[in-house]
Amino acid sequence: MGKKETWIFLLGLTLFVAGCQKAPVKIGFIGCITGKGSDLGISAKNGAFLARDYLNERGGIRGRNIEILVKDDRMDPEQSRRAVEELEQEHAYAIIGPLTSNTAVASTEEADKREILLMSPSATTDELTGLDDWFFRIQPPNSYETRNIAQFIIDTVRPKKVAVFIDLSNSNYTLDWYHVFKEDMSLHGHIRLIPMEYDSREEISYYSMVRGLLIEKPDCVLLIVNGLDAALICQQMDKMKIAIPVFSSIWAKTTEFINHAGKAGEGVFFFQHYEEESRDPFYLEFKDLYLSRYGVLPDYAAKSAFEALLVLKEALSEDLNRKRVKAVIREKKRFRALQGDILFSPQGDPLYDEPSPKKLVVVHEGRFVAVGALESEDK
Amino acid sequence: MKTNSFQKVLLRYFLMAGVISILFILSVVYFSVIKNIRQDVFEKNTLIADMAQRELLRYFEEVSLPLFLLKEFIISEDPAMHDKKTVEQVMDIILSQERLLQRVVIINSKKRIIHIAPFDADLIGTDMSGHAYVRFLSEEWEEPRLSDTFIFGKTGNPAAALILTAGDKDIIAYIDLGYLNEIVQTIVIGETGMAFVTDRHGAVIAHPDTKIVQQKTNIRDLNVLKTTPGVAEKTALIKTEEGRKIVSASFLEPGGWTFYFVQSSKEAFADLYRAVYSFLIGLIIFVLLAIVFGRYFAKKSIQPLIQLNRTAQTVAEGEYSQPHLPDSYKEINELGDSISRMVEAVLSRETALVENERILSTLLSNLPGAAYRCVNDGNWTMVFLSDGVKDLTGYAPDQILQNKEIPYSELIHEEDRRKVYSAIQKAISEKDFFEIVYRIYHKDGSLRWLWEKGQPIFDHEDARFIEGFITDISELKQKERQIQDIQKLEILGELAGGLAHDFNNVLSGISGTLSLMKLKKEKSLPLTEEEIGKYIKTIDHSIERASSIVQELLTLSMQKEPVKEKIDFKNVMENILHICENTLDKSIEMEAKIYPGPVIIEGDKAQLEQVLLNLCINASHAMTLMREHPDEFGGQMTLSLEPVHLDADTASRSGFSPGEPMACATVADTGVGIDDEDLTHIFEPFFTLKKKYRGTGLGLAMAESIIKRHNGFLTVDSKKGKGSCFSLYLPLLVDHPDVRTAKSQEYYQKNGGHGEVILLVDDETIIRETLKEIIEIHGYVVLTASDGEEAVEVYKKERSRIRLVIMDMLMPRLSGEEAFLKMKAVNPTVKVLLASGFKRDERILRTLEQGAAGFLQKPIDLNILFEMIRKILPSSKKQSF
Repeated sequence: MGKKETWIFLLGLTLFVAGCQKAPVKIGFIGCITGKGSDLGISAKNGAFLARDYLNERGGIRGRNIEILVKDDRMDPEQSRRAVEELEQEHAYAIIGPLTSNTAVASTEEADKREILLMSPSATTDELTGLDDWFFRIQPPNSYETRNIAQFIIDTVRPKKVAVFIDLSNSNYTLDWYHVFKEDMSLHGHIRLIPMEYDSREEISYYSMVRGLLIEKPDCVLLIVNGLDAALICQQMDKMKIAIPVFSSIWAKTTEFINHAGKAGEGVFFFQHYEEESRDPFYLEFKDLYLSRYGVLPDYAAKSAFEALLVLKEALSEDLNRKRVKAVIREKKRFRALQGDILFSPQGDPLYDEPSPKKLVVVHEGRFVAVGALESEDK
Repeated sequence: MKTNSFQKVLLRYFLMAGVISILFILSVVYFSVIKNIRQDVFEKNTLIADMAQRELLRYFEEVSLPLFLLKEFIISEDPAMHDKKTVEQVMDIILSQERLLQRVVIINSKKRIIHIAPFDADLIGTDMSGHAYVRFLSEEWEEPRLSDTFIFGKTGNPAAALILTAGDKDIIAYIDLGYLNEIVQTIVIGETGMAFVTDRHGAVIAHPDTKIVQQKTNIRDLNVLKTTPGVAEKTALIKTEEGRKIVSASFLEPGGWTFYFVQSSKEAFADLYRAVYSFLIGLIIFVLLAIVFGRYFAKKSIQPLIQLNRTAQTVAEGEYSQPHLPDSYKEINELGDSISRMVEAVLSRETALVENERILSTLLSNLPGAAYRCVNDGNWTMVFLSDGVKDLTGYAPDQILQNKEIPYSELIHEEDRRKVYSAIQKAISEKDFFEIVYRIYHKDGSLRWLWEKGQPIFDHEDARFIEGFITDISELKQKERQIQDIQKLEILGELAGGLAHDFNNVLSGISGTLSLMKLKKEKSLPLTEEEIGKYIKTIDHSIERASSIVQELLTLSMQKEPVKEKIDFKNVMENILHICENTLDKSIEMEAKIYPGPVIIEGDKAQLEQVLLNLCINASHAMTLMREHPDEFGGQMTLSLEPVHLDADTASRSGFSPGEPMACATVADTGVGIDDEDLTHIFEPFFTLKKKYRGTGLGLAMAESIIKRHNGFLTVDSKKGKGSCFSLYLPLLVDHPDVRTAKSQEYYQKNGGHGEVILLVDDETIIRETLKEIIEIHGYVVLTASDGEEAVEVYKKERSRIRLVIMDMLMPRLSGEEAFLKMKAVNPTVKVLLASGFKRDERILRTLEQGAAGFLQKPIDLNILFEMIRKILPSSKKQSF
């Protein structure tokens, strides 16, 4: 080979190597990260970004860095659907999100058409349970939570009347959650549920809503609302000195709830699919990383988003093919998570162990604490 | 190996020197100048950040003034100041005047909202103890404190708060971060310089891109700057997705916010980059100029060398007149002088060489013959021939060189080619000179005698060329023949008297008898039957005698071409004896001691007879004519012939090896003898001891010449007054077992064969028949064949019987090697002994490698022959087919 050819070869090789080195693996992210409801989206985004940096430090996907393309859907189904389209055109291999059930339902239709996988950290509507589609999720469906919350309510309160606040801004989630809860409660005898529906996108008077509660004199309150609204409702209840047990769906379990509820939020119960006080080293490592980076402890959305990227990384490492990700996850089924493994059903729903008291969480002294941990402290 | 060009090397060194210097200068400039520029840019950006931060702070302080006023209201001891309505009015005024503020809240010691503007009844009394800014209250900061960001419940957007403590109450004014964004957006330097603000946790709270704020983007992971107060580093270069940026940070004391000023390093260091680019462009231009000038100067520098090179080439082409070389560098001038001296030396040597060549050419052209050099191939392809070849052959040198028109080998007479080839091969195998005489066909069709002396020229062990000299000896040959003829005439003349006397006697016998018969008839005397028979017998005898005399004369006078062939020397001796008995003076008594067995030599029978006759005549003269008185005529002449092995003394005198088998023929007389001084001249031409012109003086010279050409030699022993003994020695072709006295006939019979059949192959009849006889004497049965093809046929027919084959290598029709291979095809275990006059040459070695049993050097040593036969035959098993 002559000198000229040698130089051309070296140049081509350099370009090739450089090209090979620079092409990242693109993963999409869809969530509400601005405006009302952005607390969930920002937490999930932070969790996904932390996972990105964590995995890239460890070689990324097949030696290639992970790049996250963020799309803000503002909790709007149409924007969420458009975000799927844009991400597919921008050559994303898969998408973390959407985060809410109504956006998830709209996005799934688009994802099915384009054969791009959605891995939602937090959308739990049962409308998407058991379907052979391109929607997978980290959180179990609503029924997993409602069943356990219902049981807990029955065990602790034995209510005759339960007031239920329902935010219609995320009706796919809230109404679905309510209906499943209702069915679960119906198994325990005749318990009257008093639904109080509202739309957080409109101007509302939390005072008026809570005042209406007094008339009904429920035995306990169930909140199927976002964290901010949950905090404000708790604040009104506190002002009116309504001292009845408050239970909430996982949607409200955010830092903003703690911030805005203050003492009024003490004693509110949540049920989640993982242990708040887990000693799993991977989970502890994640918490430390999140705290040092963002200055606050991670919530369930951050955790689930982190796990969503772990699952996608493992699947894409086996076969870096967007159209094969679903099949790989189905075939592999079990994936490493922050607390043990996640096992997926063929339809993409996670299968978790039976609940334990450690998964029941209560707000105590301004933080979320496992009920089991509290009880052992008391002892 | 590729040789470097001096010009390129010069250029390279020039560039290296220049580039190294420039790099050194650049390094100095970089460390002294560029570094300072970089430092200046850092300081400038840090200053901008500090100034902007101070401005922001000042702004917050300005905004805080009404809050301080509110604070005064709250902490005032004047109860009128504490009126709820008044307080809320003041709060509303503050909000209306300060766009930055979205809400003002006053909380009590229990952290519950007691006042809120804009008024929201729902929020009065709400517990803010969990709020981020309330937790912030416990930390020590100067007022007004700036809180961490939080989500403003009303808008859902991030917000922060200005906090003042008023006694047991806290005034919290929510800052519209969007408005803060507007302020930050005004801070623009150049095209890329921009500012943003983060809270103490790294969350971006103000940024030209509002989405970054809305998303609470956290840059805490950017390991860029330590924003903790007091740390020195405030400006640094970072690498982002958009490229390298220079980031300056300034810490906002109240709340731990950090103000960042970011600018792309390309813009910040534009001046520096311009300087660097200028330097780089300058460097590139410098390098280009260096290359251009370097090439020019390098070329100029080596111009004298180029001229010298041209001069050297001119000299190489043969032009020695040197152009004047202009003065240049000292070293090159010296080189030029050396070249000039070298040219003079070359010229002088070439002149001498030319002169030598001329002399050589003149010598060669004047030599009676041709010098040559040829390739040792089948055709002896000539690569050099002197002009003399034209006279020799009739062909000019270029007609023969490289076989252009005719190969030299084709000029050689067919009968002599083999002899020439053999002589050359012998010289090659012995690495010695060769000397041969042969005939060629001249271009004009005539036959010429040539004498050639040459030697092989070796390249390692390979005889690649042959060099030598050829001269025409046709005239000499003719003169030889003439001399021989003269000799013959001389001999004839010598013999003629005797022969005439004899003839006269014979005629007298016939005449006398006829006269008697005539007389008796005339006298009518009775002639009896008996008498008639007696008279007829006498006439018959006389006629026979006359015929014999005539035959002898014819033999002597016959003009035969000398031909060497295998002859039995005994026959020659007997013939000469017979002639001498019939022709020489009757006073000479003839005695013969001739070996009874065959004495086989290679020679020209006529020439050898001539030599022997010459010796005999000389001997007879020594006993008759050379004596003083006729009364003294007479003596004894002894002719003897025996096979001998040369003793050391004779060998040393003759130049032969001791032990060489030779045929020794002697002619001894009891004549006058030769004194010692004459002995030294005896073989010189024209030297004669005979008086009265009885001899030409050529006889012995001729004899010696003939014997030498027979590869033999002549010796003489003589004592004055006693007699002389002339001995001629000729190489024996077949060694005679009787010469070896060590072993007896009985020995050979005891150790000989027992009827084993041997096939003997040789194209020379005399050798074949002699050897056959000898081998059969030793108890073997011998089959013969005269050439290779016949040998193969015989072998095929009699292979069941034949135990051994003795075969000559050089044979017509099929060579020994080829015949061996054919026999081997019939019987792979055939035993063959090769015989050749050549020492082991390539063909012999090849045949031995192919499985021949052994090799016999000719003349065959019979001891060795029978030793080999005994060795082979016991191990030869009877073949069954």
